[in-house]
Amino acid sequence: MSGIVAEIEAEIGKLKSEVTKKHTGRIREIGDGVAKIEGLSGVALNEMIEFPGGVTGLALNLEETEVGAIIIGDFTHLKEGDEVKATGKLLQVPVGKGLLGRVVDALGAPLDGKGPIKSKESYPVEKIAPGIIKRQSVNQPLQTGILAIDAMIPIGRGQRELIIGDRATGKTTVAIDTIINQARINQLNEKLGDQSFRPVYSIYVAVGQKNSSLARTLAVLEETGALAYTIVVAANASDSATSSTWLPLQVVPWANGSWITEWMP
Amino acid sequence: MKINRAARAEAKSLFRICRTEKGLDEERLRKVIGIITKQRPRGYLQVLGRLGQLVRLEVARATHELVSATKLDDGGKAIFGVLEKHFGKPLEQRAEVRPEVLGGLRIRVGSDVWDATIRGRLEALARSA
Repeated sequence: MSGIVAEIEAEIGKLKSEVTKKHTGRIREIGDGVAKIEGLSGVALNEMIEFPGGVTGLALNLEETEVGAIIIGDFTHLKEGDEVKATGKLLQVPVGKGLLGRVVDALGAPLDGKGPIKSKESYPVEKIAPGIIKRQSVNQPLQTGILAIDAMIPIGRGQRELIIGDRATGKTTVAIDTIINQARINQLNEKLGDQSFRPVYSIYVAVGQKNSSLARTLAVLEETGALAYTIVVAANASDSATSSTWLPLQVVPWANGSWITEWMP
Repeated sequence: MKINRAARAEAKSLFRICRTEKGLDEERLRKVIGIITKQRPRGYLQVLGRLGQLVRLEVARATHELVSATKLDDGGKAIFGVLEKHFGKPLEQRAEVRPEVLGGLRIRVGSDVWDATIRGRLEALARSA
């Protein structure tokens, strides 16, 4: 028993107990996932704001006397007069291989119930992309596994490719097939023990989809063993009212997905 | 109430008139409000609304607030003295007793907060766990 007490004391000892200065403000007006906040002097553009209940907001509109922020998450319990805190951090998301095989939301918080994300690093969402000269030239093909595409319009690693099509024509299927094919190639090379092989990790960003559609896609990825090489970033239609109106939740994942990709080796 | 750009600009210039080097001049502010309510220029309600907002923010910016779990012996005079020395003369000094903070002090000057309460530390501990 005394061992547990000593452990607790050690944990408390490790905790920073010094007094720190915090910038705070009060919600003046809130609605549709957008809050007008008074106070918060010194807050920066794109800085994360901590709302009560662990909800995160993003300072987007800095005015003379107030700050306009979008709320990324559930805002239904927030009300006028609530105190908010500036975090001093620009919007950032966890990155790293700990995200592989996981389903996360716009801020990188887990949605799949598999526990916390094992990631030590974070990466800012708003960052200037490296220039074209700095980027490595395309010198390696990326097989989609679909013979017609690979033969007629081959894709290289690092290239961007847009899939355009009418509804229910198989755009998602092409993307999912590519993810599965890449996972199959990764597994094959892992078995062969090829040290020079660089595995391809896929990031599937599901924006404004029904939960049932996403669940179906996840089931396919899990069944084929491709989920272990994939990160799923989801901002579904049912996430919050903001998702289906002004959609801050659906704007961030694009950047989120791309930054997770940029970090990957 | 929706406040238009012209009313905002007008309220801001009036607010500037009421400010001196030492801070907000209450007497001058009363005079200005009196003149506006008497003359009732176009959009005066919006101007007054915005002026009220600016004054409220100025008061909040220059308010020293002290929160403790129990009543302080000197009513917080010693701490207010230190704060006044550091941040200048406040428009308002407020000492509150909130037993829910359990112990320690929480000081607020404008939008800056120094939280040294036991509750604040427990919340930090809960967040780090």
